[in-house]
Amino acid sequence: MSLRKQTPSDFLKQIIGRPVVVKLNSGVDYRGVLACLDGYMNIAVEQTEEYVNGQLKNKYGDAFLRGNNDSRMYRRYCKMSTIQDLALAKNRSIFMGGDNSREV
Amino acid sequence: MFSKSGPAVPELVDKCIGSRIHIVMKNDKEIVGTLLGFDDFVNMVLEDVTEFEITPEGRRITKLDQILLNGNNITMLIPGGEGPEV
Repeated sequence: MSLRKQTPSDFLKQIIGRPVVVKLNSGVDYRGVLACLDGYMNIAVEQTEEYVNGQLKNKYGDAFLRGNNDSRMYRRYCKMSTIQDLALAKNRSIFMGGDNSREV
Repeated sequence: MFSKSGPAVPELVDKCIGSRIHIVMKNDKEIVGTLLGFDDFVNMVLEDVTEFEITPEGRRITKLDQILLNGNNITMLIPGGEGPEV
């Protein structure tokens, strides 16, 4: 049993390049290969499949998922525009906006 | 006037590293797993995870190997907890 202390940033470095599932609060899952991410948990995934309620709905070459760590809210909007620029630069990419919250 | 030594959340969470922990989220979801580590925002790395979703149709249980849980939506941490009654 490997029980060494592992912080979130260690974990994230370890899984880059591996297949992951990103689960949003809205109940949507994104399965693909983790390309990169940043300190705000903005995530870039390649060969992405979008599952809604367990059913495959869409496939994307590249997907950008916006993180939403509120503690750095004042910088969030600057970061968003950078990710948006990257998304626009890649023709086959999509950009996922919103705060990933589920509507109650 | 105000005491500086209030409850230190990071210290308390650190005590749980290596043990099972039950996490209740803001939405209808609960997570049970072994705590590997966490950060200043209480984002948590867990392994051997069971995810409980409380839905109108009943509960959906998923098993996951290792996860990073976003601390934004955590409501409550229960050290040594086993999760909701099945």
